[in-house]
Amino acid sequence: MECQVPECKQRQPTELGRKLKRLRPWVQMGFLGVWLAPVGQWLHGIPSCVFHCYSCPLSSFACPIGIMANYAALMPVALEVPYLLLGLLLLVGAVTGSLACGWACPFGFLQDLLGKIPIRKVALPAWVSYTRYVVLLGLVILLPLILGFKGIPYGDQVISICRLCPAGALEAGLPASTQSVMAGNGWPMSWFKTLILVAFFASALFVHRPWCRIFCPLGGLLALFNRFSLFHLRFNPKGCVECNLCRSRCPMGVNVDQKVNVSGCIRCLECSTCGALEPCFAVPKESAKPAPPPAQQPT
Amino acid sequence: MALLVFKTMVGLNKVPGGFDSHPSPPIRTLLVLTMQRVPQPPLNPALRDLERHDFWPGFIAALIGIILAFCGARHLTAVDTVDGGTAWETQLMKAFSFDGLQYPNQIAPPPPPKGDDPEALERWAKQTRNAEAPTWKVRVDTAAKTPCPT
Repeated sequence: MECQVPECKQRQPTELGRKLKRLRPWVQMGFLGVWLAPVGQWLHGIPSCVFHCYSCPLSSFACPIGIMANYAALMPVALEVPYLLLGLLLLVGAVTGSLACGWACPFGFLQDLLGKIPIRKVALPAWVSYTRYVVLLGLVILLPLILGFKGIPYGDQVISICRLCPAGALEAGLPASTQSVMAGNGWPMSWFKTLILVAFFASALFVHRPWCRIFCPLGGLLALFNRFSLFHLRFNPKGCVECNLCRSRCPMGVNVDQKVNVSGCIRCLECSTCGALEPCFAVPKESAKPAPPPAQQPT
Repeated sequence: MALLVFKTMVGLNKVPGGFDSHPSPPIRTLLVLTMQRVPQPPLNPALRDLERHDFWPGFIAALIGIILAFCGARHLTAVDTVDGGTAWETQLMKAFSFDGLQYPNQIAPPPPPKGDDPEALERWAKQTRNAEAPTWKVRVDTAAKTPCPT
């Protein structure tokens, strides 16, 4: 199907779009220094807002998904509510939505880098993003809870999100296994987890951010806030010339030409290159600037 | 190759010529393939939702988040620590990442004394017999340092 928009190929990105595009990898690298700071191991008692294994030798903050699964498994023994985790996720979600996925997540950054390898990418249907909620409810909450009721502590549960997580395999399993191989003790990581890691790397070459789009329970949770978060993308009809640039730029396959603040969005802000979608913060209506009067049309 | 991809990514490899013209010549064709524009039927921008977000739902949710996070940071859980205290929520979370949770069935009985001293053996047997089942269901070892619990 050929694009029917006459200006499609000639449309140029805005200056803001160019700047954001250049800035994003630097910000992602800066956040790597936050999440991979071995001196910050004492911060393991505080959950982060990104998908990042706390068993990594360099990790600073704790993984919110691991914490959630542990709390679920602990519930039959001690009914505890993770107030700090819920509060931090609510705060980050309400203020920025899924901005952390696009700009701060180290695992997302790795997938972005793998996605830069020039291999033609496979387009996934939009409904696959709902799998994230199946993972969140099934693997992160219900399964540890059920096994916890059977008296199995989270660490002994054979099937759990931590045992299937490619971030854990990469950040914790791979360094430990490499160290073990170098010491002549063989490969301690299970073949299943190794296979998951290989499959993750292979899929990241052919699909943009496969983990984020299909499985990431944290991304799914934060994306729920996209519909009302303070930071959001606003559509400016005056800036839209129907050039198709916004939708073409979206690496997540969101139909941003129809609706942009949806759960499939990671707020990478690539779509803002066209100028019709503007990143902005919600402000109270009283203090919001009044709209300028419409310009007089020359007669 | 990695340097080239990195430079392209951060815009250092930019060449004049507008949008999507960052890639260097050897991989340019392939990159253009991956950056092709999606065909899109014309839409009427005037009919599209502006997607303006109201301030108050986000603000109230953020406020609740701040309060919950503050309460969580000062929250004493119902889980005991090994040294007899009560674990803070942060200590409990730290225990998750360092395999610091202890369950009663994981506590091994003291090993039998070495040697052939019958008195010591008898004392050990008596101790083992009289040992009461622990009253706690789970407790936190704040000194745990196991690098990878799974």
